[in-house]
Amino acid sequence: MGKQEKHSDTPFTTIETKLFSPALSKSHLSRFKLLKKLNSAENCKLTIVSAPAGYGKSTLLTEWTSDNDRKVAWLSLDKDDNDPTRFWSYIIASLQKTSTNLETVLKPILRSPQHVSIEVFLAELINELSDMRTPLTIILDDYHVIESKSIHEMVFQFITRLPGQVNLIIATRSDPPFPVSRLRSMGQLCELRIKDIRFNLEETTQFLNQVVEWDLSEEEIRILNRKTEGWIAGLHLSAYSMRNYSDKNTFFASFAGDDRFIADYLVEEILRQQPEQIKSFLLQTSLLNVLSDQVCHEVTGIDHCQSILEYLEDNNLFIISLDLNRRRYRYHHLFSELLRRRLALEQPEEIPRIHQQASQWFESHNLIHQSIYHAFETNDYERAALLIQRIVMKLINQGEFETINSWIEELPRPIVESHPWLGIARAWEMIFSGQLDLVQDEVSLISTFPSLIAADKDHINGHIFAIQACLYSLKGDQSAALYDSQGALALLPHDDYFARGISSLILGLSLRWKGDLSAAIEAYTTAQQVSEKGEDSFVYIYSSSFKGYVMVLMGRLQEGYKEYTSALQSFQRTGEDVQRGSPIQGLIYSFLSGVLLRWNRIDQAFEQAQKGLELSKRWGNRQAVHDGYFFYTQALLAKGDIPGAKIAIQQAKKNAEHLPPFQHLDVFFQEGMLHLKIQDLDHVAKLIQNLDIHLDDDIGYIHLQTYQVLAKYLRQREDLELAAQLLTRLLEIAKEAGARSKELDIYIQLALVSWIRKDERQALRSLKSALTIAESERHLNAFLNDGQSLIDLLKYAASKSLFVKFIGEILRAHSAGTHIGEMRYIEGNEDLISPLTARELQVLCLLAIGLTSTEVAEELVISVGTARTHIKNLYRKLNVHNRAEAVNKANELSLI
Amino acid sequence: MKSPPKQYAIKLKEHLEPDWSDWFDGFFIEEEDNFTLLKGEVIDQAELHGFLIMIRDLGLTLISVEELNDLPDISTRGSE
Repeated sequence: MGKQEKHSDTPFTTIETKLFSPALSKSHLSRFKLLKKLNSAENCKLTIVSAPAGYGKSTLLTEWTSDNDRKVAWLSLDKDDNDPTRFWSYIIASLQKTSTNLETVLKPILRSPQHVSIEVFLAELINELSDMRTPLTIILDDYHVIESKSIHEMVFQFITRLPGQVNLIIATRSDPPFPVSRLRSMGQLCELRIKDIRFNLEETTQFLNQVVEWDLSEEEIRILNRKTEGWIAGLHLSAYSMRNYSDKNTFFASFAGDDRFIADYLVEEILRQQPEQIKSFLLQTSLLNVLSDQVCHEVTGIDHCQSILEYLEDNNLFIISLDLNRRRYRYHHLFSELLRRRLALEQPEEIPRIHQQASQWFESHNLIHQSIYHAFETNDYERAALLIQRIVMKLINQGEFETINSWIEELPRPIVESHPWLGIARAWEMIFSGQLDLVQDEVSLISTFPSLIAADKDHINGHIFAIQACLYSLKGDQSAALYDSQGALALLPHDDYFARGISSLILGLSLRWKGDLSAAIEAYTTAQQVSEKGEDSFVYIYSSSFKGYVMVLMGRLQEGYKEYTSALQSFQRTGEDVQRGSPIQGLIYSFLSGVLLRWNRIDQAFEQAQKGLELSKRWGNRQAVHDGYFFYTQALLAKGDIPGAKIAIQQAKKNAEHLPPFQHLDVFFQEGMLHLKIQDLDHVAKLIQNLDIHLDDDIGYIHLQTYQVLAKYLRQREDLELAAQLLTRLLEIAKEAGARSKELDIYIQLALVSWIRKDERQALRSLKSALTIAESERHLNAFLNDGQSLIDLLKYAASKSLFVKFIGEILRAHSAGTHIGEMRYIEGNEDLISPLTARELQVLCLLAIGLTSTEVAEELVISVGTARTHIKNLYRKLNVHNRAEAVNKANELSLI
Repeated sequence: MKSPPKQYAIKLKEHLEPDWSDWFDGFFIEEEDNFTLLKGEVIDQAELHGFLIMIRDLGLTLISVEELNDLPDISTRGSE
């Protein structure tokens, strides 16, 4: 029963031969005029080389490539490349060959789950190409095999956005379905068409004189040129065929007298001239998409197939070499069609046998894609399904959903239903593509499969658990996710790196929610190790960054910082050092800003938070954007940019509308913290009321930060007894989880409560606990958010010879930092006879950066009239009459 | 609603032998002086486009494609 493949052979092993231009044959004719035309086409974004099979398109481009200083990325397409992920992976691989270092940056994006749009990838690809200094040409050969509408659309977008130094050449049998008229009108389209590329009489003469031994008369050359219509493959075959005639007149009599479809005529003619063995070889191997000595021997029974292949290559007959050491070949597409037709006419009974043998041979040589192709060709669905099962998980892992879908669609329904791995693949696909509502049905269906035989049962059930764990985690049901990820890990075999990696990641996430932080770190570490083995860069990056995050929660700032930086380094390209970053890294930058902030490196923290948010937005992943806003808001608050933080909170709210409700608590936390900071207690009271939280609630670890807002609110409202009670409970929870950073924050609040109550001894005791946690890892910022009273307490502690050195450091940070400006901001506002409202402050900031009232209205999503009213009011309060005065006054008062 | 199969005539410049009939899935091959006609029934547009792609891949020259509504049924698949 379908055992999963070992990871030694990935399904998307880039087929290297696709990335090389084919070898030039010895008898090819240099075509200077066309080469010149291609040279001038460098200025066109798109060049189309469009002609039927056998007109020498690939040969021409190969010659141009080898005779050119430009960097060239070559990709020969085939039918399997209709999967967008596969298509773009090959594009990356071909670019990688030109020594531009794109793979590390772009591959994880292409493979990351959950709504990662190909558009995001495209934008990144364009960015990367824009950074390149040397001119580059990308050549897509055999583009006509592409039928996928989405690929066409994206390739066209790609073309229109190509930077100046990059151009694309498409060789195809029929024009690609692009709306090229705009390119054409802008002079951005170059075309080499059949009329340009076919041999004219002169070239025909030159060619024939080079390859034919006899002297041909002008008339004979004219006949050949007319009958082949300058079709190069036809001229080759005619010349070859002629050599087997004792005199040229017999050849011409037969050639000129036959008015059949010339390709068919020539193939038949050449087959007739071959010894029986070679003829049989040609017919029987025509069903193969790849030719090698061994596979040809397998299906024909002929020994020394290699010498036949080399003979065909040397005589330029039908086949194309796929590599330089003459190991792999394929038939020229046109001739494989014509030979297959002959086979169907002459030996139809051989066809199923050949497909079966080929399928088996490819299977035993681990070329599963080819094996599946031949199984489908004989309608052996059972076999096809078994083969697909073997590689399906790896295809999922690579994001090749289209390939899987097209196979599954081709299989009869009962076959699909009797192969549980196919159902598993579909369920994963639903998870990765965000169709969460469908997952449960698919999974239930698999569980009822009668074919769940013992050998594979655990593995399949392991996957079902893993799929459900993902589903619950995405929906926010953390305890179900915890249960199912543990179930998955108990059942999955050790070498299923894909499923084990994801399950460990989910386990880590749910353990963190539960408050079991050490266990979460352990789970993330496993996820890191497993995903590294499985080369699953997405899971690796995520487990590393979450691991760092939990370390920070546990107070281990240094270790967390190291974890982030090494996750970032795993991305670092070896070549050019572009400081842009990849969208998928956004989360790491956001987390990084969290550590920097705790160290009170505010400017750096702000920079990283900004970068993290920007990258996550580019990625378009809502969860990452959500986390991005969290750290960005925090950094803005630390800078004292209240209006900016308010805007960020509004945007975070909007983004969170599409996330499970528990995520909204993060926004509540930041909004609460902001209003506590500006002493707007009424607003905080409203927030608390809306959230409907109370002192006698049952509080779990995940609610810690939410109730920290409540506690701080009570403390600022001077409900000191209640504040102390709540803080004591929160302290217990933080201690139990090992969340030392949270403990620190809570001790500070407890110290302040006692300080305000004039219980100095108790205040010192709590402060001492806080300082003990803070000192070794240099948590500075935790002491800078509670205004003057905490500073006074710290000074008092220092006067009692407690932590003198560290307190000195905090006080220096306090007087040097932006905190002074921030205090002045509040004081300045209070200096006014009637202080500006939060909204007016926001408007004032926007005026200061030069927005018009209409733009202010747009930015704040209010009507222009309302914006004008705010402006009028703030002019009045500031006692000014225009924008310039308002900005001056605001600066004077340090309002902005 | 599934539309009934349609008869098509595909006119090609090259001369094809009648034994090509199998290759074009049962289309009749009619050889004329200066062209070849492929006549037969296609299930839907997708099948028709499949034929056209095959014609392209063989490098044959397409002259015209016509629907043959008014002609008597020439299909081997029988009428309903």
